Amino acid sequence: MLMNVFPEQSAHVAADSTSSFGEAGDTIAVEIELNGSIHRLDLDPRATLLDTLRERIGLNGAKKGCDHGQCAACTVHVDGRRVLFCLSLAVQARNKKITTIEGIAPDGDLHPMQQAFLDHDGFQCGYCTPGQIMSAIARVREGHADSADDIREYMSGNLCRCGAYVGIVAAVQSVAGNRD
Amino acid sequence: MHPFTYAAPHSVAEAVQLFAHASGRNPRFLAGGTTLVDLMKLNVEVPSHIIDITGLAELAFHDVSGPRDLLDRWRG
Repeated sequence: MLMNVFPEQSAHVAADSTSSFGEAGDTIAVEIELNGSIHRLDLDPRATLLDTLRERIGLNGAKKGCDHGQCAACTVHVDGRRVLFCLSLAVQARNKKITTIEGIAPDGDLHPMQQAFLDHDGFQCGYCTPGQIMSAIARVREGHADSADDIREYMSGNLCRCGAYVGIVAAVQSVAGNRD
Repeated sequence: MHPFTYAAPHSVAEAVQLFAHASGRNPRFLAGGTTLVDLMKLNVEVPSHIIDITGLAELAFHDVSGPRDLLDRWRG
């Protein structure tokens, strides 16, 4: 039995080819669609997406907690799927659509998940919150069951050292229950 | 992190060819990156070439067919 895990991937064959090696130290020209606008960047292959986002593009919403893929404060969507940006190389985002916490609602508006985190006290210090919200939005979209246990399971990668988990589960549950 | 060169092949055959081309140095396939990128940050892994296979449609499935005796043995 074959199960297609990433059916959307076949749509993303790169138009510009990086199918051969350059020289060590070369930068790579990359086009990234970030929150609806196109960015053209020359990237050192070593640059992570998280550092590129924060230090070159200037979007500080995705947070650098551990930088080792353990806390998920850097969670961002790539083609609608949640991804840890601290463990992604920026060159991997070539021709992909990226959505960060800055891009989930029009300027001045709150996404329903952001409003729910406010309503249910889903944070204290707020450092993990962008990652929590990006995970929560993807979780609802993935259509996992709406029980508190399932929310805890599918959000288990996102750590909150303030321990706001009770509020986070309530916030996610309220949005999951209201979706179309 | 030490410098490396990056390539994103379009097929499994191309990926294997690139790996063979770089053999003798220190090529690595990049799939998820959970372990590899983490260890590269710590200079535990020091690849010379990164071959990114994340976009290969040929690999975008799990094959769960085949002999089931191990599973049956485990189930008793």
